Amino acid sequence: MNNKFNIPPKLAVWLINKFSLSRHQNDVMGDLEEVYYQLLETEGVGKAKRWFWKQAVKSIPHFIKNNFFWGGIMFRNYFLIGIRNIKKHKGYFLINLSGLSIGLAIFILALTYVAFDLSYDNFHLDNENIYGLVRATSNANGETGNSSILPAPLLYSLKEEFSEIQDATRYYRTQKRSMKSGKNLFYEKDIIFADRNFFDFFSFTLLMGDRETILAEPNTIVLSEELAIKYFGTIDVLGERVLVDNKLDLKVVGVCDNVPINSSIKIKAVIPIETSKRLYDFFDNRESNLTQIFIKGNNLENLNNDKRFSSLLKNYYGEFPEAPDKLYFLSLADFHNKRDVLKLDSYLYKYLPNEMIQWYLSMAFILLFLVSINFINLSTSRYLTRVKEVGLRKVIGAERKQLILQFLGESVLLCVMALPIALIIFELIKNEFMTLLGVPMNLNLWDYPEYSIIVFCSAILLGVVSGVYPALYLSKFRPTQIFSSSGANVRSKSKLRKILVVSQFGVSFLLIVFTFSLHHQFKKMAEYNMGFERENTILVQVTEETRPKLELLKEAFVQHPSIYFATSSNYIPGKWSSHDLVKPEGTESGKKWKMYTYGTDYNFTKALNMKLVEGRGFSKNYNDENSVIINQTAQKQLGWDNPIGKEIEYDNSKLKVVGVVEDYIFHNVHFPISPAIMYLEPQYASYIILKHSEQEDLNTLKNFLNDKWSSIVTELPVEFSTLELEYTDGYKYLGSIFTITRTFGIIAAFFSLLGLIGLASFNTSGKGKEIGIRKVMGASSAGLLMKMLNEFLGLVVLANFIFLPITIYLLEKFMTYAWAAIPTPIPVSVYVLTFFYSILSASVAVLYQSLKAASANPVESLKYE
Amino acid sequence: MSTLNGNDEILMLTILALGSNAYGATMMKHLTKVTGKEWSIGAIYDPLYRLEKNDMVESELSNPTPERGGRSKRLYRLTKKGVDAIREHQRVRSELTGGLADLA
Repeated sequence: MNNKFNIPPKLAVWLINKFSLSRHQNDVMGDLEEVYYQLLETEGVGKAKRWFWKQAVKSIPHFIKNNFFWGGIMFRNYFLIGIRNIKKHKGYFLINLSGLSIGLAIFILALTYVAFDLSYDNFHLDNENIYGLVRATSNANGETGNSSILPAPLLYSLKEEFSEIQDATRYYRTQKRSMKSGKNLFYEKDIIFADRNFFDFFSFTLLMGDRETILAEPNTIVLSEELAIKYFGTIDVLGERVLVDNKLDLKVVGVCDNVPINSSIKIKAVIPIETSKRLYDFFDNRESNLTQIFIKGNNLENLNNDKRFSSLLKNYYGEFPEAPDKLYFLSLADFHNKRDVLKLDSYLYKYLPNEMIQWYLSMAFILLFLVSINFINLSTSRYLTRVKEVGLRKVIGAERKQLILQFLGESVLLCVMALPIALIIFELIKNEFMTLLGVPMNLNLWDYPEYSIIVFCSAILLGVVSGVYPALYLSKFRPTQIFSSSGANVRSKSKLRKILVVSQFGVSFLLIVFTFSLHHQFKKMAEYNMGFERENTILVQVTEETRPKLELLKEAFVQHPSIYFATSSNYIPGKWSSHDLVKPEGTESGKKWKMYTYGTDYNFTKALNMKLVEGRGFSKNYNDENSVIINQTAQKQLGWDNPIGKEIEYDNSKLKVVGVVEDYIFHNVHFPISPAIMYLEPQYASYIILKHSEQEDLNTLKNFLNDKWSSIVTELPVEFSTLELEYTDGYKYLGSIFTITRTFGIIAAFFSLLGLIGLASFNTSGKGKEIGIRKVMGASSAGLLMKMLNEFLGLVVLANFIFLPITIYLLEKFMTYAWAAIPTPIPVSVYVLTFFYSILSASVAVLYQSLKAASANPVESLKYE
Repeated sequence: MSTLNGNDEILMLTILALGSNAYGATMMKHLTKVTGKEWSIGAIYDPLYRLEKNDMVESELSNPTPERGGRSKRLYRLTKKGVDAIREHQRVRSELTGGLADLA
């Protein structure tokens, strides 16, 4: 009767076995088969099979319930064993726990910053409906630029074309302004001029004042809480008066909350846009790019290819030669997210460029990868301590699946335990870190609830990812191997472990090379010759109000015996990239050259010690009003062999070349050397530049300058800087990238050494008999030590060589990105140094384990138990 | 008093009724006969394993038999604790069913 057709349905059998606990399978199947075969005889095959299926379907929910019940009990058991293991091997536990905590802490830090970065401007009530207007412009050199700074009257034409626009507002900000109330007189940044519906359009909180009527009246001002307290000591300041720029006497009509740190619009005070006409006459100018225009509407980006934009361009700009190629709407979120991609020029702020965040995030992931490898290395290297437990469990009847779950559970438990420690580390280091990045904020994970869930899940995931391989490895031993008299059978060669150690060392090699190279590059940069001297140069800011006194100030300052030269410039050399179209003599009519244009003053080339190749610098001995100095690149591009005396037409005036200077970079280090001209324009100076002697103490000098300033400019404070400071400020992001890389490099090196120690203990444990026999046969301790060291160092050397091309490639890419203007080749010594460092540190790390194994007395390992 | 739910009680009474021949298949058949509805094997083993964990019942394996494909029967019997529990349960029940008699 037991023929093929009469056996119970296979699928049902499989299902039952799948769902019932394995230790119950025999009982269940036995009972079912017994009844099945009885039914087969009494009722026939069809009924019996149907009965079997019914049993399967009805039983499975019970089996599942049963699984949960026993699963819970097993979990408690595993948990207890996990805790016991931790207590037994505290040192090992602490190394793993600290590794995972550090890795997680850095990860939380990176993630929270990303959360902050993504939260930009989300406090505006209908932030997804807010858009800005952007213009795209291209020049003759083929570069396109995007800018959201547009003429104020453009808004009226825009509203006429697009009925979809529900609301609109404009604002603009300028450089620092002075603000005065009673004796309080300071320079303030972020004073903006805005349309009257500004507070209605955006969701900034008003603490004082009436939202309906605010900014409606001219000659009024809304202060931020910060400024109200700074000037009046209270926020109850309605009706008080402040004097802005020594010209605008304004009535305080409101106080707004300090803008949130994640606002890309920063405001310290708001003045009605109409009032700015008292300062500038160009507000209504149809071509002056001045204001940021924001509008509200649903899905406005869908209109970006609308024909109405072209008619708007035509109607508004007409034949204006510098009309933009294109106008389009950009959502407020994209202002933030795409600003780097679009190279967007705007009044909006963003703390860190996206590249920087990506760099940091990838570093955090690399570190997480390293601590995970470290965990794998250490857990598998201790396999001997667990192997007997595994054997015993298997003898009693544990299955491999259960053992895997148990070990996985232990690693997850460890990661969950590491999480609170990681959070503490995060709290301890976050402020340090934010200062390093130059972001003045208190980063708080709990501000982003969904990210705290991600963090928790990542901790569990980290436990699973790190635990999988050790769990598979530890659970694979068979009891017969473990308990056989020759315990050596348990030894197992592990290729994966070697691969892991190699990649760990490789990554730390990469990070260390990066650290050394960045260090090298920074030294180069500090010494780098930008074509002008940065040392011993003080900058004194001049503004609209103080500019008329420029000559007086220069004369007064230069009286000091240590000050050699006083000159002025339109902007800070080192942060300066103004360019324009010029027409040199001999070019065809209608053609113009794009050149960088720098408005300077007499003695400029002398004060900055710029090298003249031909001719002279600007000097009061000549009438230099219509003179120009060009750089060597400009000379080369124009093909002028004798440039002195040639004419360049710029800004409707003809300038005569009086000198040629060596190429210089007035912008930051990313800036390529370009054709440039310098001309006299002290009437627009923003900085007085003072060259002083090296010996002079900076503070005494500043005191002297301060006295002179106050005697000439009575009503405004003086603001100092130095060229050196401004120069280093220009690459502060790279500075923090350097510090982050260095810190991570050190941590990575530390973990790779731990990994190597783990491998060493893995390799030497259980090798006692081999070493004993070798010694009996005549091997020396020193010889054995060398043999073992070679084994490890071989791995380190391999890691370095595998990662060498990767490192060179990445470094090349990074350097080209970061230092386009200063392409210093990375010296070979950096690689050699890193190589020797890793060999040396690896030797030290494995020396102890190897020495212990090599010097052991063979009697100990060979005697029969 | 450890509480037994209805299922537990029925299973334990079945074990008592079957005497030394109480195992999955016989219990399944007995219950199907008595209650008149089909009992699945899962519905028997799930509570049974829990009762065993709580020391209400104990089990041992018989010699393997050919009709079970060479598998052993897992024979169940009540422990002392189990017998006490079912007695207590019955006592409480008979006291409470007084109300049922009044109803009739």
